[in-house]
Amino acid sequence: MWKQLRSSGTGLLGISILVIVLFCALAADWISPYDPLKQDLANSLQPPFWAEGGSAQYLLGTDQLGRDILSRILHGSRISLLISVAGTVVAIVTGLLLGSVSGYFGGRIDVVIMRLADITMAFPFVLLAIFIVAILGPGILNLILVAGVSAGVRLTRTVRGEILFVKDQEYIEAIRSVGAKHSRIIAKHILPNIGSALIVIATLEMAQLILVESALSFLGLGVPAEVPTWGKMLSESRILILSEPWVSIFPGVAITITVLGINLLGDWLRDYLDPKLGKRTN
Amino acid sequence: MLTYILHRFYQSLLVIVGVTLVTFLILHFLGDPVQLLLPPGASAEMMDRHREQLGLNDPLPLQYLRMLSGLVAGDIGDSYYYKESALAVVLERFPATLELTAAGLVMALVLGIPAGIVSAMFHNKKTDYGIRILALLGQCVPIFWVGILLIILFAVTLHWLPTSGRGSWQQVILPAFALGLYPAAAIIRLLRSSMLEVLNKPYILVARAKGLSKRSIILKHSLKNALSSVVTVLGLHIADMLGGAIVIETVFAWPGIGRLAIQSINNRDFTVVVGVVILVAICYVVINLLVDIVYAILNPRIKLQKEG
Repeated sequence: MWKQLRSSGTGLLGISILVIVLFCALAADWISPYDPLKQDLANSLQPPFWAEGGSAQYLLGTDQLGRDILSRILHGSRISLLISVAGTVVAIVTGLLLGSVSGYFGGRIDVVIMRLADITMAFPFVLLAIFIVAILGPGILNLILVAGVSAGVRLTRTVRGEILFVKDQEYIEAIRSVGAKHSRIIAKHILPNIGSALIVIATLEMAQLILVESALSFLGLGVPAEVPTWGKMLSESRILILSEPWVSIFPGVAITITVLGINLLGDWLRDYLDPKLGKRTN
Repeated sequence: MLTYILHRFYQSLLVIVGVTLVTFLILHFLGDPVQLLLPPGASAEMMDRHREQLGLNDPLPLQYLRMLSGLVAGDIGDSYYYKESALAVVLERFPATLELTAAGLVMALVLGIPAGIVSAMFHNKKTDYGIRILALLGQCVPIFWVGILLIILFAVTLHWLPTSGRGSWQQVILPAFALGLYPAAAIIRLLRSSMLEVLNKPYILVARAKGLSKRSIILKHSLKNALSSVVTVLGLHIADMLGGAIVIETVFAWPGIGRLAIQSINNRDFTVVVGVVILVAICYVVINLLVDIVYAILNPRIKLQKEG
């Protein structure tokens, strides 16, 4: 796998971006030049170091409260990664549980689960999140749950579809005829066969969750006010786009690069794990 | 065909009823509307009186049926901020959102279809690579940031277009571009791959052997077949664009239901939020129904058993 990854330029780029972002998130406390919350009003709205009037003191400049933009971006990676990774885990658990029950047993329970999935999917995700966050109040855990369940519904359909295909194969028939239990058939014989499709879709969902988290933070519906996030930085800088547009540039670049990294990795994983799918899109 | 359409219609109706039920349950279990409506520190008697007035002491199924019959009659309660029917408030802003979504869709098609065709025609040439990189980036940028960048570039720096608001055709260009970018990128990738797939089919070889020009093969044979997959995916994207419009409306101060929803959350005006949620969900279901019908017409081989 490592050999294939090295020979694929885009896959390698994707994983490199992710490793760097992950490093920034884990080491933010040590590598940030300043405390992301520390205000320095005397030095507010400093431009980045290469622009006129900028200095090496604040590499990417400061915002209207004089907070260091670089430090805030480094710390902002934590929330984005936390919500997208944890949301994806919730999604995988939901998707596996509901999808395998629905696909394997079929019948009435399948109909019920699929209709529930239809209903959940009828709420555009941002709207559903807004609705829940509006009622429950902002909070990281709420965001993770909303993100996870919503992405989980899409995974449920994938898992179900894959299981419908696998369960009629002869080897499953053979295992069943020797008296294996349902739970054992699902866990030992079916799930390993749909793993690769699941990994690919979960990766692409993770990229979506980063975009969604940033949109919710941007709308002021995400995490508590004092936590720095990329979306919130963009929302706070909106009043400055006429005078200090650079404040709005860097957080967006951070989001785009992170999503790009995950998407590149996802595309590569799809080609590597599931060549049938890969052919269609390449 | 008719059986299929009827079946899908019946299913969609079921989903809409489900949507109202879920909305009702979320509202019921996640918060006491009386506490949300009354100012903090209201007395217990006042709360009880309000609960009685709103019928919140009745059994749940009865409350739900009341909401459903209200919805059918076009009444979901009054907005406490606007002091009029919440549904009227939402419907008044709805045309603006529809306009923005339609403009975004046009933008997605205008950008996406030519780029997808060019990309497939110049398969593995520099043009193809350029378009593919742009399409990949289009799926990675947050749309609200694209909106901000567009404002910085075209409104603040170049003074070509207005920064925000609704009214003139110039004002719709930037938000429509921001909203259409993601679906455009998806159309490019999908159209390119399905055209390339079609180009390898035997009937294209026959067309070529007959001596048809490359252009006529691409436009008449390959594109026509590839477009049906675009139609399906487009349906999903129209629905997502309604969600994206919420964010874009906030960036461009576009007076639609998305901005209304955000404002209403800040005003704690939940009746309006419920109105927006239900309206958007109904639109989503109706769009998907229409897409499925169009798809069935385009692709007569479709069978009912496709649905699970």
